[in-house]
Amino acid sequence: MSRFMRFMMTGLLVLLFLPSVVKAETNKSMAEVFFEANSACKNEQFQKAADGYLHLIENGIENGHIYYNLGNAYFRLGAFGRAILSYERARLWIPRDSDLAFNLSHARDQARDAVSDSQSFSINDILGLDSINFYETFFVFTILNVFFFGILCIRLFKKAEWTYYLSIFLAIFVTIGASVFALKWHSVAGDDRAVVLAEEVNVRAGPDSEDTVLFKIHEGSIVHYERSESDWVLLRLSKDKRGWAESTQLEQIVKK
Amino acid sequence: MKKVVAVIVFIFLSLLFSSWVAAEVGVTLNLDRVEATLEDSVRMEVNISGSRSSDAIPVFHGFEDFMVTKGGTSSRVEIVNGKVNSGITYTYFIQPRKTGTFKIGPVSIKVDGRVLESNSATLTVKVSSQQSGHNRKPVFIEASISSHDVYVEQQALYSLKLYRRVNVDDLSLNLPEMEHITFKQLGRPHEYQTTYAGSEYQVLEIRYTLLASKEGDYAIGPSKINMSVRRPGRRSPFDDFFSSSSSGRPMTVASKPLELKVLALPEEGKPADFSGLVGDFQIKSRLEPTGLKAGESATLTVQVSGRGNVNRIPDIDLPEMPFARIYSDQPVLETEQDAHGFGGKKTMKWALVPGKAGRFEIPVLTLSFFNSDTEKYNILHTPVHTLSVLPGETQEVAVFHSSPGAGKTAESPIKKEIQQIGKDILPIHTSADNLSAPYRTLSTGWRFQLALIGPLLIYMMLLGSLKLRNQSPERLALSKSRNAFKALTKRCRQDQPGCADLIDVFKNYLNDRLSLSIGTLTADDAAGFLQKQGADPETAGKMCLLIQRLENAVYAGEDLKNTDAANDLIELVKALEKEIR
Repeated sequence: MSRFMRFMMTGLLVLLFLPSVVKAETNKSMAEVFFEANSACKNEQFQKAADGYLHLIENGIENGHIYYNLGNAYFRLGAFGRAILSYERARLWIPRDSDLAFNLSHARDQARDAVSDSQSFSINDILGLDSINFYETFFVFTILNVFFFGILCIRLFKKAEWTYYLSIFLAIFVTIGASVFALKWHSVAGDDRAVVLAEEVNVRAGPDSEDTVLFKIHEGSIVHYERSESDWVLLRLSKDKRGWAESTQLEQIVKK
Repeated sequence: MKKVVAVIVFIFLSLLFSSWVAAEVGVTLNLDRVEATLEDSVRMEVNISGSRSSDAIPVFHGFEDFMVTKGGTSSRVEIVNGKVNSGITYTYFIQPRKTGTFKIGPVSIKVDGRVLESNSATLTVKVSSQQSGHNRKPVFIEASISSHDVYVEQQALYSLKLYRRVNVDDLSLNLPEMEHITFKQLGRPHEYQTTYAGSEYQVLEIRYTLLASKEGDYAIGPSKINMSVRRPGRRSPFDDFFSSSSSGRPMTVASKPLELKVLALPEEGKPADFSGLVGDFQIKSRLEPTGLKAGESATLTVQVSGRGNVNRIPDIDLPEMPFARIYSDQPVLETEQDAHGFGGKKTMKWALVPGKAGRFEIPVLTLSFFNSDTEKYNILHTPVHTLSVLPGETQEVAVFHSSPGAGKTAESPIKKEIQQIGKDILPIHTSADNLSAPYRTLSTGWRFQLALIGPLLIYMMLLGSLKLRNQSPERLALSKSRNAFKALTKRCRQDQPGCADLIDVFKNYLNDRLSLSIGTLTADDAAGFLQKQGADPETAGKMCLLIQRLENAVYAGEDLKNTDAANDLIELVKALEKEIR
């Protein structure tokens, strides 16, 4: 391998991993905010705790545990809609966390409406993709991808038998990894669920406050977000239950 | 076929590899009882978990007073929830040669090149009972207590042994119910054979810890076991075909009452902060990291472990430190039990966030307990830890209070369905590790695209550069030179050339091999070229003769397909390949 190529590969690896080191340095100051928010939560100053966790999220410290703690703070404040929204966001990051599953279930019990929160893409359930998060899927795929092309690069210089079998083996796994990653990507990108935040929402026939009220939904209900027009959102509960609600009264789980 | 099998085996091994590697290897030693007589044969199992083979058989320690007989070996593999557990069990029978209390083990065994050591067990050997009378009954029960004088909250072992020479079933046990005394069962009942008063009995042994919460003299009432004794019945030809061949006779056996004296803990030497902890305990602590910047957090971990009433281990208070803010974590209590009673450990953690630079000492933490063996109060101390703090960026930290009480659950009675009393959410996640988002950095922005297509780009660049290099004139000439002999051999063998063709083939060979551009080749020219390139004069001479022979054949009109000449040419060129530069 030429010196130029070695230089290029080293440079790429440094570019890939350097940002995570830099990020770790900036996180240190955020530890204080995190501890303060935890402390406030334990002192029953739940609004202060929620503000602390939101501050962390706004500053890029966004992960499942922060959303989980935020959900707990909202739950204690009696804002069950925001609690469910935070727990659902946490579930995108830490889908296997048992504390989260317990609290989400308990928070859902507080909702008044019996609305299913099922996502339309059910292949996730079949393949168990709901138990892994998007970043884990991508990480596994990237590792397999690097190994696969790594072995192809080695084969350019050394066409040994073992490199042939290893490349076939890795090709199979890269294909599986890519398929899983694509499905997960599709699932996250296509997640149109939203949580009702207002205590009671009038769902109307059109995007106007004068339109007929079709039905009412309550805080904590999960609906499907179809499209928005100015300050109004077209939402869907089922095929025959669709209507318009004010956009401030609900929020999408996956931020778009 | 071999290749396909190799690929399948490779994939299979790769899938299993992570599970096997992750398995932790450990060795445990278990006895089927803690008391035996000289006539008894005690079953001992050496259990290796995490490996299905050992490099050598186990080596025993502390078996001088026993006769050891091998009882067999068994290995196992279990897959539970996708996790592979494997193990091997060596079974032995040990027979005591004299009475006394013996420490059995540890057992050493070499597994995967490492020497592992098991735990030890205690066995008390007594003279076999020579009693006669009611104890010669086919079924009876015996109760014993490890000590008749105990302190308040000190663990005593209460053992019940059901001796039987007949088959029994539908057993139900009634323990004596007493105020201020609680029984807690230790593990599962053990079943073994023993000799009692000269007769062989099957013994069912159940062990309990007995804990008194108040001093006084107690009479522990009899424990009773209700059962159904099976005895063989005679089968009549008129009996229903499906009727049972034996009948059960209800029976109740009771143990003798026992006396227990519970002493109050002595007032002399009692520390002011004594929390009621009785038993034998140790304390360990560690500070990680010991050096950091102001504003960063270090974790102080204190672990109290031991044997006794571990649920009385108090939550130690870490005093205020002027140089740092303290964030306490929820203490974790883990209990464990073995044949000798209950034990466990309590782990307490604090996050320390220093606000200024310097070297600071963490205060020593203390814990007192009453040692029931030495009958004295002991005070445990943590070692002195020093924290080195460098100047940092942020100084502001907040006060932290312990987490809100998670719903405390009362101990439920055995075999009673646990009822939901209340419902609430579980507490927040407080660990500083929760600030990180694993794998996220790689999955955002331009790094995402780079990680996705970077490997492909590198591969394409390498491939392209190799292709370019192979197409340069020097590279082509080198390639032609390397393949010249192959091309000559191919033409000589496949095309069955005539004599004129053979001269042409050799001319092309020379052109390719030596990067020449010869138009017409004569024998003398060929010899000259070859000698100039370092060929042996003899080989060059032979080649010259061969070309002359071919030329003569062409001029004499004998240009026929000549395989001998083609073979000669190949042989000579093969020799030339080794000689020319």
